[in-house]
This record gives sequence, C-alpha cells and structure tokens, in this order.
Amino acid sequence: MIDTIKVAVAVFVLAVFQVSATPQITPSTTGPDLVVILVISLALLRGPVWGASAGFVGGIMLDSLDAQSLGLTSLLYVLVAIWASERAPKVEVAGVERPATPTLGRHLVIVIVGAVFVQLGLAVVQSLIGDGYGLSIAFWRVVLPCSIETAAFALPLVPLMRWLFPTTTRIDVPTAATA
Amino acid sequence: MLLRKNRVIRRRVIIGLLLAASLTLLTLSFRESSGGAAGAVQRSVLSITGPATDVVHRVTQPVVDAWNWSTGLVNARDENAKLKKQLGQASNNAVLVQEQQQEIKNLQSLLNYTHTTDARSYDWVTAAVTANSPSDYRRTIVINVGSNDGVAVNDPVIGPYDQGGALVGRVISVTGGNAIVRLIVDPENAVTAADLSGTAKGSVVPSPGDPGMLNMLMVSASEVIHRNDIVVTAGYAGPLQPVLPRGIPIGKVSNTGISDGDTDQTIQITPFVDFEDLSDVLVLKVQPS
Repeated sequence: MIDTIKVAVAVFVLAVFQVSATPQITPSTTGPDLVVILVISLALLRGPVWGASAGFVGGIMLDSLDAQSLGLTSLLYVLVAIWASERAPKVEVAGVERPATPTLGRHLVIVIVGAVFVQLGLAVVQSLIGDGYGLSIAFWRVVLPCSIETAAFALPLVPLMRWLFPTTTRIDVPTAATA
Repeated sequence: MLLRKNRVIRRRVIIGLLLAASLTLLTLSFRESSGGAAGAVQRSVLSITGPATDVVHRVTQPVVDAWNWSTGLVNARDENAKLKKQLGQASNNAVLVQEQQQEIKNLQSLLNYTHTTDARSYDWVTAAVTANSPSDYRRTIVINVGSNDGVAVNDPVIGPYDQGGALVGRVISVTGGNAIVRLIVDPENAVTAADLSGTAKGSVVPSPGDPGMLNMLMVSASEVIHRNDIVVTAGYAGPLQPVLPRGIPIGKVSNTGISDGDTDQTIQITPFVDFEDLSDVLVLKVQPS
C-alpha cells in the first residue's frame, strides 16, 4: 500500500515537473522525459506490472497536459515497461522468478535506451498519422535533444529511484531457494 | 507450481488490460471531438494537475530566472574578483528587478493592445503561462485562467511584443481555473489572415520545414505584398477555422514566392511573438462563456 502511494506521488510529481519546470531550464525547446525514468526503473526493480501501471497513469497525465492524442504516450510507456522488465536480471525465489537489482551502469543504459525508444516511437507514430513534423526534423528537434536531456536527468534520478523503490528480492542475498 | 502459474497469468492479464485501455483511449481520442469521453478524461486530469503546475511554476520561476540569468554570464568570466563579488551580492536583487521589469514591459505591451480599436470592444483577462508543451509535436501552453474567469473555447490569446500585442493562439480546452492554448505555430493550427489593407487574404499555417515560422497560403498571385508588410487576422472563418476578431497582428512578411504557372503565391511570415519566452498573455473574451 505504501509502495502504491509512493509510486502515485512520484508519477504526479515527475509529470508536473516535466511539463511546468524542466522545459524552461533546458536549452532546447523540448524537455527531458522524466516519467520514463520512473517507468523503466520500476519495471527493472519491481517488475512489468509496476512499470506498466505507472507508465499508463503517467502517460495519461502527460497527454492531458499536452493536449496530445490521449493514450499514445501511455501505450509507449507500457510497451517500454514490458521491454525493460525483460532486460532485468532475475532470481528464482521459492520457484518464482523475481527481478533482482541491476547494476547502476546497466540500469542507466536501459533507461537511456528506453527513453530513445519512446521518443522514436512517438516520432514514428506522429509521422504515420500525419501529425507533427517530418521524421528528420522530429529527430533533430525532439528525439535527440530529449534523449540527451533525459540521460542528464537520469544521472541523479536513477539512484534516487533505486533508493525509493529497492528490489524486494536481491540477487546477492541468499534465500531459502538459492542458499 | 500452481501459485506461480496464477501469478504469471495475473501479470499478463493486468498488462494486457493496460495495453487495451491505452489503445481504446487512443481510438476514442481520434474518433470523438473534444467533448467526448477522451476529452472528458483530459479535462478531469487537467483540473487535478492544473493547480499543481501553477504552484510548481510559481515556486520554480525564481530558480528558472536565476538559471537563465546565470547562463547569460558565461561571457563575462574575465571580470575581476571584486566585480564578481559585488555582482554576487547584487544578483539576488537583480534577478527580482529584472523579472519585475520584464513583467511590467510585457503587461504594458498587452495593456497598450487593449486600447486599440480592434480590441476595445471585448472584455479581456490577463494570465500567466504555467506549463509549456514538453515536445514539439504539440505547441500548446497551459494558462492560469479558465471558465471561472469567463474564458471559453476559441477565445484568442494575445502575447506581448515590442509594439504591443500579437496573436499567440486560441483556447482549445477550458476547466474552471485553467485553459489549454494551441499556439499559432502548432502543426494543427490555421488562421484566416490578411495584410493591413485587407486586400490580400489567405490562410496562415505553420511552416512545415521551418518550425517557428509561418506560411500564408492561398494568396492570389495578383496581390502585391512586400517584405515587412504586417499580417493581421482577417475576421472571417475559413474551412474548419473558427472566427477570430479582425485586426489582431500576427507577424510580418519575411519572404514571398510564386512558381511559374501558379495562381497563388506563398508568403513566409515571421511571428511577432517570441514563443520560447512567453510568460504573460491576455485572453480576449470574444466567445459567449
């Protein structure tokens, strides 16, 4: 229950900051994708259901604040949560496969690659539905700056996420099943 | 074994439901107008998050101003230590004064605009920009006035520039205390416009190859338009374009072009408003609220 409240607060705070604060302090007209850092971190540390649920809610908030096609960002966040959870190291506890804490470097790389996937996905879908700009303009003006800024913001945020949402079963702690 | 199987099934069902819900919302948002279920969800979320964005904007604005001010000092590194120390002591006051001067200048420009002939016949309300679209796919802003202040969908929004006020965009969604404004540089936007004499009329849309610039299309090749001519709203509705009052400045002509055999010319327009530095705007209440 406490974890659910923590995740809900984190989604709300990051979405609000993503829209109202970060676009003003970053050099490009686009801003970093803070919610994707939370979504991928949850998928890695807690599993795909946590990541996908946070992504669904965060996506709806961003689409509403951005007057975007509702559900588009949610869909991409849910897909990236599924993808990220598959990249997490696993440990089997009592016959159940659980996520184990990835190394910080691996965690950062997955977040950055996932952020690029989401931005590329948005660019491709917007292009396919005849919305937004052409792919080359979208790449230089949105995908590239957003990915770089997300990577920069991920450096302090990923350790924060690991502290806020520690993996419930660690790979380096022997359990009844692994000992 | 059975427990494990149940967990896997439950996990797949939840993720499947989330995917289905996302696709359903996406379909609804394309099939329905803003008054449908998807629009209702968006308005509900906006009414919850709108006040929070307002608070975060107010709290972070001094930090943002200080950040912008600091980045402007990069070229002044060779100043001596004494000046740096004095500058440091004065910086807090300077940030506040600079912020207030800019705000006064913006509000003065907007106030001047309300005294013009075209704007005098409407009520108006000033607003602060509390959120910007985080991507370039949608060029929208959120402002801290809404239906409680008499703002309605399709009301034009005016922003400051050196000579007064100019068109920023129009309101596309309203809650009690907030409104979403689609900027004129948004890819979905179009405005019927004319030159100051009113003879050369056309439709102003964002330039697809040059974000931030505008193109005026469907202007007859026989019309004579020069560089630096001012383009204003035409005051009549175009296909799928709402009526905006006549005479709101949009920008000035930066280039004109016509191909051999074409009956229309394309005119490139530089907007008056700086969309990257928009903090105060004015909403003309032209629609019945």
